[in-house]
Amino acid sequence: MSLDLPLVFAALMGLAMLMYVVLDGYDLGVGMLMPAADAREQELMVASIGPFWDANETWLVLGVGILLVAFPVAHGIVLGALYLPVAWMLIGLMLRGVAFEFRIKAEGWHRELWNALFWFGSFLASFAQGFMLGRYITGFHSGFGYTLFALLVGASLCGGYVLLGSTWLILKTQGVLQAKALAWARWGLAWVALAVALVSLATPIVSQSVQAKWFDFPRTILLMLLPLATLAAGWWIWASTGRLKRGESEPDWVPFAAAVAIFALAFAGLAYSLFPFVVIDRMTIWEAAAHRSALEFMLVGVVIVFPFLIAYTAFAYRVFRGKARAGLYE
Amino acid sequence: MLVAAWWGAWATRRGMLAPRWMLWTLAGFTFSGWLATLCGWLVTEIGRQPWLVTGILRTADAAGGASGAQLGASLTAYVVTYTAMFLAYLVVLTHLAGKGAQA
Repeated sequence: MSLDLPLVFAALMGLAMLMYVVLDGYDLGVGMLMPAADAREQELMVASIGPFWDANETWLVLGVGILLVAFPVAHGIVLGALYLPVAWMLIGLMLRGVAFEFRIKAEGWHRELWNALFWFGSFLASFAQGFMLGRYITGFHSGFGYTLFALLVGASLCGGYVLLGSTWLILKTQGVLQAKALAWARWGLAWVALAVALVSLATPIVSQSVQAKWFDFPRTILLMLLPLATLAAGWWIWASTGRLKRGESEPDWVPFAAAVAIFALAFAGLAYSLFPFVVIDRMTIWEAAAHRSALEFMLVGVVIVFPFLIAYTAFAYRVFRGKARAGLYE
Repeated sequence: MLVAAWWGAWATRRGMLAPRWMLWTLAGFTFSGWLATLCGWLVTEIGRQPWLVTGILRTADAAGGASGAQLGASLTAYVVTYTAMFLAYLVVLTHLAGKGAQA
């Protein structure tokens, strides 16, 4: 039996990217929410992501790493076209990483400065990622409309991360901060609705092949399950945050789970649109794939590394489960 | 660096205290490892030109399509960011070292 290796690596790359967006998404979202909280709440917010944020970023390294080694030609095209937003994202991630370590040691206005940089870095990285998504799904075309679209996707991905971040805080905190997070989550939800609508409308307009795939009766009827499920998850967040706000009995993990569901569904829709292209309408995963012997060699490494990644992620979330306490991360 | 290390080991043998001027000299060595790494890296990067992978791939053939303005903008941003973070690092280092002496 011969394995379709480009397909295997495309699936692994997709999984790594989805893990990254969900996991780093919530801690970037918490970073962006920092200015909305007071000093004591900020300590709790940082404590809630303290044990996780570093490991969350490794998924980005894995995803881009797979793109480089398994689809080298596509890596050149994609990262070449996205040169500037990648640079901005890296600077954003650097700033927030340094701010995370230094803000604890700083006092007075120094700490305020690092808090501001933590917010700015989180925002810059999130915005750059959304901008890249906008450029990627429109095939890197240049022009005012395309740039505007990418900027809009950038802004709405920030909103999406705010939704993930605030629902994460609902899960990890209680009392006043949790009540604040409930309100933030609803704002985030509005932005996510915009983001999902934008991307869903833009991709079929930009690409004929995407349009053909989605408007192909009777398959369309089955495919409509995706947007319907996304709507249901959005409504679920609204209803659940409402119940929590009124103090009715409701598990505190529900909004976060529903937010993750929205991201997973959007990802599935995007994957369906793009497949089998790695650069939309230009290059399929088989055209971009590295030589078979190289892929076979790497598969050995992947088979060893992936279970460890999954295992330590699961372990970390198990150890640090429950509500966050200030000073947990010093 | 090796000489400084052995010198330090000699000066502090059997629980002896190193003289103050020597401690200052050693403090200057804080950045020596960092400097050595950078210098070594610079030598390998420059030494292998014009090849990226010796005998197989030329640097000029591997360069991406980013424009000079893009490269200039990102280089400026990196230099500014790293300089600011290096200064911040020095401030924190000095602050923590001062705190250690008081404790």
